Parts: sequence; structure tokens; C-alpha cells
Amino acid sequence: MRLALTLRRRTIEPGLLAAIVVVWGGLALFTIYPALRVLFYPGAADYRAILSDPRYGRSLQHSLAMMGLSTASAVLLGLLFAVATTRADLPLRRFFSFVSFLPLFSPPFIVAFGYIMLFGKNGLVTHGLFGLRVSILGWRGLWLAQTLSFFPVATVAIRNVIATIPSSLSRAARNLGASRLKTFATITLPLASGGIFSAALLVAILVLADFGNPILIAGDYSVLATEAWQRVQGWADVGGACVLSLIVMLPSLLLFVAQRSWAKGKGFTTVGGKVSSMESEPTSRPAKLFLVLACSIASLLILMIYLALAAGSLVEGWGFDWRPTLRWFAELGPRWADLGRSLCYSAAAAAGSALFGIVAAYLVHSKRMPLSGAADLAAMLPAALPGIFIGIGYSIAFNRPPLDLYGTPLIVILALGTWNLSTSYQTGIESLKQIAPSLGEAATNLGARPLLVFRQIYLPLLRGPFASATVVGFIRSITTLSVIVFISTSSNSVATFSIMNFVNDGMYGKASALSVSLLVLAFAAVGLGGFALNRGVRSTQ
Amino acid sequence: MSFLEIDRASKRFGSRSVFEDVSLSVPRGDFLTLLGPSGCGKTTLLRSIAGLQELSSGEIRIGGERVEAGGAKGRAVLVFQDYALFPHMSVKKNVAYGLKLRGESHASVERKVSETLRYLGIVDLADRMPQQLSGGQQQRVALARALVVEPEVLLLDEPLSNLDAKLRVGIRAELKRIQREVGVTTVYVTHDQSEALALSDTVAVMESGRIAQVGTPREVYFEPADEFVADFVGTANVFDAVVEETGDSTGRLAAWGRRWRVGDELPAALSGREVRFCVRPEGLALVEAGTDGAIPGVVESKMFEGGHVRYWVNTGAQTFIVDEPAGASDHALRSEIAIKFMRGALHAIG
Repeated sequence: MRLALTLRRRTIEPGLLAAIVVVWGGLALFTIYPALRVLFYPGAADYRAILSDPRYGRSLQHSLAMMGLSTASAVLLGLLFAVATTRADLPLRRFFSFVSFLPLFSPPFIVAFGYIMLFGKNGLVTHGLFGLRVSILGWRGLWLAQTLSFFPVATVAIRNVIATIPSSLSRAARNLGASRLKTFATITLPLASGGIFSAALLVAILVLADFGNPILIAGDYSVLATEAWQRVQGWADVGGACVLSLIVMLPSLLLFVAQRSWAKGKGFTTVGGKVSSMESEPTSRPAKLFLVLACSIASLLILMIYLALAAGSLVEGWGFDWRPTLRWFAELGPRWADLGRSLCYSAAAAAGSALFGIVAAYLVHSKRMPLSGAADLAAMLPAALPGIFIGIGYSIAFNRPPLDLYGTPLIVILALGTWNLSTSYQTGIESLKQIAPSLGEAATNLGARPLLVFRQIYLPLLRGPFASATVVGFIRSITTLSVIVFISTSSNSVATFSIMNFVNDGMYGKASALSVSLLVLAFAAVGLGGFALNRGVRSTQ
Repeated sequence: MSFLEIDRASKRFGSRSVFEDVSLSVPRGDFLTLLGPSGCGKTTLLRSIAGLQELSSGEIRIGGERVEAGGAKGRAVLVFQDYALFPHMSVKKNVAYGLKLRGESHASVERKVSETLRYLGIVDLADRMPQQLSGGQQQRVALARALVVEPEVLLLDEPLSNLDAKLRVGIRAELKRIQREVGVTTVYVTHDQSEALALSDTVAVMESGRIAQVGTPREVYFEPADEFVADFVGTANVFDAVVEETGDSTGRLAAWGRRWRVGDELPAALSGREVRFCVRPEGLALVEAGTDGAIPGVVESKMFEGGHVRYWVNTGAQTFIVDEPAGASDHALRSEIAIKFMRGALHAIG
């Protein structure tokens, strides 16, 4: 006997119906509802405060200024690395490529932390080497930290575009008599301009939403994200925090929409996609010299961070007592549990979000989802939401019955999962577009019902994308601070939260020890994930 | 009693009509081809028979039973243009897929799969993955996957279009043999008129969502229903002429201020009317200029095409295309010549 329900003249399998209910229910409850809570939580007085309280305007100003500065410098640096790493004949090319990947897999705030250790009041370079008592805290430090945190995103995006420019074009220009520099300026750069613009939008979103770097290094220079945190921490002003996260969300949403329509209209690749190695023209000696020099300096600035963290975790007292020790690792004590939680929560959030995202993508793509346009929007929404927005949303949406998740692992997992949903969903949609529709139809035609088609045809073919979405989601989750900072309590705190507290309390030894452990974990996950991914991809080919 | 019935079927996407009020009856075991240019609605019609597309109105019945949207459940099985082999399954698993869906026993699946693979000569490919196969091999696997479930109707969507020309002719002949041996009612979609003529028992020529003509290959070729069919199925010389005489074994036509005799017996009803005629290039012959009853013209261009030579002959008012067997024919460019109508070549299209 077959159970069947009729919806719009069509019979629907119970399983499919369940999937639709789960996906729509999940989107409504975990994406739309928290977002609406943020919007409606503040009272009229909270909104009026935007004008009356100068702190709002100031932090907005700061946020926008940093967005402009850091985006410009990050994109410039990203372009430099993109050009350098696509020149086949550049010495140290692979090394530069490797270094530019490091920040992608690290918590963004370790850049700020590293620079405090190097250039801060007790900084190894400033104080230790030059005996200076200067402070890196403030907008200059933030600028440097954000530039180095986010330029890799620009590198990846721009490199993908440069790599798709046929080298025959620059050869043709050279053949017509253009100099190498002229060729770059008149052929490569204009063709890459779309990609550069798109990269700038992506970086701007990240800078705007950045919480970790400003909380550690910006000092009194408060930006929207940190101002929201101060309000909750200092004055328990949740309404004000909501207003601030709305203010930071609006430009982010605009940038996101601009980026999406730009990327769609121009057909430019954004982050992700394949980079084909091209047989480029030989690079001139001055260009080589410039690229190698510039990339070397930037690489040094990056590697120093990791060296400082490693060193910091192994000495008695950073800045004054350089005797080696392992005590910081030993004294982590209960904080090891944070690391364990980081691992478990991130893994659960990543896998859950990848599965949810891909199922949602299948339902939307196969037009089986009722209101699929709205579902598409809801699934893409988290990409436009800054981490603190989601964090605040969860903290006020799930803190009382019927869904009181305060202090539970679940609230962290759900928040992280939601934050990653768009990535998984988009991965799912893009991969489904690559799969010929005739495959599913062939199975349907032979008698397979929709859920079976998904399980037997699409799911096996989506194994690679699923794995990659999981790895990306895991890395993002385990390195984020902004999403979890508003929902962390002593019972569900994760490593990034503890690192922030250690740094703010000046406990650099413990902070470095925990950071190093976290990085080891993250890089191991990337390695393992990459390995599994390669195998997964190979097995489907 | 026809086996596959398409009954006043229409399909619209929004305000755009793909096909309108199409009716066709296909007897059991028949090979029907839907022939038409791209965008004429033939593939959508095929997909409707496969149950992959809901009709806007009308219905499709197989053996008297209505086809519901949502897959024909193995009754009308489609071989896709891109073959749609599941890339993560071996050849064997691909072929077994439909049988497993029906819950057949392991032994029966094994037996039927290996029988089908053997029948199509691809036993040694059983454990390969689709990516390791050539186009022709993939096509056989796709055919095997469809035939193994013993469908009531086999649907083929331009199955030869992804193969190179040489292979195409060979596989075409084999396809015909297999269809005849298996005896499965078949609907074949193509835009290639030579495929349609070579394979079909019945050809349905489609033009922008309607059936222009249904008939045997000979009928649609020699007796096209309208100018579109005449032009789409092969090369046609179409012209208007007044029928002046409809004698016993010879008629007389007049056009362009010229009159000439044709070997055909024209129906008396046409007498005195202006009629549109179609004549195939091989229905014309070139004779010496000045021959009585022939239309004088000049060889404008010629092309050697292997078996025959194709001439474009300008008669002043119209350029006729004339095919002559290559062996005997060699008329120089720009030479004065005359066109003669062969007996039985003339067809009035209205």
C-alpha cells in the first residue's frame, strides 16, 4: 500500500514531503526567525538613540572608514599575489601561494594577536629589538591586521579571473608591439577588472563584519561590531546591540546583493573554481624583482605572526622572560575542553549545514520546493549577515521557552550551521547545475520516485561538493569569534572565545598555547579534508 | 487498434505554446519518427510520452492506459540525447537500474542484464564506468538500459546526433535491425530527414508545434503535403504553374510565359488552375538546349557530390536544382541547356 498526499494535483511521497517540511521549517526557525528578532527586539527608544547617542555615528564612521582602507589595501595586496602566483616563471611562486593560503585557514583575529605580540607595548620587534614603548592599538594596527587577514580572499578571487584570461591575448598584444608593462595595463588589468571589483566587494563584506581583529587591536577605536559587544558586556544594552548589528547588516546586505548581481551579470568566477595553469609569457626582470620583493615582505609579515604565536606559547613571559617552557600548554587545563568543543561543534555544524544546504539546493533546483524563490533567498540570507548579527539573533531568539537553548551546545551548533548555510547551499546549487538534468529524468523515467532519485543519483554525485562544503564550513566555524561571542557561556565556550579572553586579560602565554593548538587542529582538518576530498572526487570519476 | 495514442495533446509554458492539438496513432510495433527543425516541439512531445512533462491539455495513452506525469514508470522508456548514463555506476549497474527499481530478484536481474549486454555486443564493457566508453559504446549502454526493462514504447531522442558521421550510418542500420527484432513500438525524434526516411515506418513532420504531415517515408518525400514538408524533407524545386492540358499520358503546364509538356497524367480537376508543384532534383534531367517540351536554362553552378552531380540551372524566372548520376553527367558551367521533367516526378501541393 502506498501512502500519498496530494498537493496541487500532484502526488507527493511522504519522504519528500517530510524533507520539504524540514527544510522550510529549518529555514523559518533558524534563519528567518532570529533575523526578525533582531529587527523587532529593540524598542523605539533604541532606534531613536541612533541620532541622540554620538557613539552610534562614530562607530559607523569608523566601520566605513576601515572598510574603505582595509578593502583597498587588501585588494591591492591580493592583486599582487594573484599576479605573482599566476606567473609560471616566478621564483618562490609556490611558496607565496602557500603563504597566502595560511590566513584563509586561521582565525582572522590571530593576525591582530600576532601583531600585538610583535609590535605592541611589549612587542618583540618594537620593544625587544628597538626598545620602543609604542602602541599598535588603534586604527593603524587594525588596518594592518585586516589587510593581512583578508587579502587571501582577494587573491583567490582575482587569480581565478586572471587564470581564465587566455595567454594568447597578451601574446597578441606583445606581437603587435606593446611592451610588457603596457600589455599588463591594457590587456590583463582591464580583463581582470571585473574580478577585482568582485573581490573588493567580498573583502568589504568581511572587513565590515570583522569582530576579532578590532576587539583585540583597535583599542578605543570602536567599530560597529565591537560597539555592539561593549553594549552587551558593559551596559547589558541588548536593544542597542541589535540596532548596531542592524546598522552593520545593511551595508553588508547591499554589498552582497551588488556582488551577486555583478558576478551573475558578468559571469565572473568568485571564490572557488578551478585555476588552470597557463603558459604565460616570460616575466621581465624588473617585474620579477618587484613581485618577488613585494611578496616576500608580505609573506614575512604573515609568517611572523605564526612564529610569534609558536614562540609565545613556549616562553615564560612574552616580552620580559624568554626562558623556554611548556607550562602554558599544561596550564590550559579546563580550556582543553574548549578545544574539544570547538572541534565537536564545528564538525556537527559543518556536516549538518552541508547536508541541509544540499538537500535544500536539491529541492529548490528540482523545483519541488513550494515558494522556491523565497526559500532561495532565505538560504542565501546568512551570507549577507555579519557573524555578530547571527550571534545576537540567536542570543535573543532562543533564550526562553519553548526553545530555551541558552548555554547549550545546540545553540552554538545551530548558529554556526546557519552562518555556513549559504556556502553549502550555493555549493549545492552550483554542483547541481553541473549535473545534466537528464540523469535525474532517466531515473524518473525508469520508475524512481523523487526521493529515490535524490538518494541514488544526486547524492552520490554530490559527495565531492558535500565534502568540500563540510571542510569549508568546519574551518569557518572553528575559526570564528563573531558568531559565538554573544552565545558563549562557561558551559559551551569554545577555543576562540577563550583566546579572546586570555588576550584581553594579557595572558599571552595561554592565549598563544590555545591558538597554536587550534591552528594545528584547523590545518590538520584541512589536510585530512583535502585528502578525503581528493579520494571522494576520484571515486566519482 | 493503435497502441500508442496521442489525443489532442497541447503543451504551453505560460503563454508560449510548444505544441498545439497534436493527435497521432501508432500501431503496436510501429517505428514512428517525429521529424522537424529545432524548436518545433518534437522533443517536448517525446518527453510528454515519457511522462517527464505534464500536458496542458489532451492526453497520451499507451495500450489504452493514460500516461501520468512523473515518469512513465518504465512503460515508455526514453534514451536521452546525451545518453544520461549514471556516471557513478558501472555499465552493468546502469543497465540493471530499471530492473532493480521494479524489485526483480537478483537472479532475474543478472540474467536479463547479461542477455541484453550480449544482445547488444557489449558484454566486455560490463564493468567499465561510463566515462571510459566511446560515444558509440555509451549509446549502446543507453539503449541496453532502456531495452532491458522491456518497455511498451521505446523513445529515442536524436540518439545519433552525438556520433560522428561514419558511425552514424552504421548504428542507424543496427538500430533498425534491433527495433525490428525486438518488435518494440518506437518513437524516434530527429531533425535529420535522411535518418527519418531510412528508419521509419511512419514519419510525422512537425512544424512549430503542429503536425504538418503524417505518412510513410515515401509519401512525405514524394508527396509532401505542403511547401514546408517539401522543403524540409529533402531538396525540392517548388514552383507555380497553370495547368493547361490534362491529357491521357501527358499534360501541359504554363508558367513564366512559357509552356511545356510533362510526362504525367494530371488530374482533370486541376485543369485551367494555377497550381503549386514540387519536383525533386532527381525528378529532373538535363537535355540539349532546344529540345522540344523542355525548359531552356543556363548552368549557373555545379557540385560533384560523389554518387551524383548537382546542377543549379537558371531558367530566367527560377533556378532549378537538378541531380544527375555522376557517371554520365558532365555539363559545363554557363552552358546552355534544357530541363526535362521525368515521368511521375511532379507532385501538386495545392
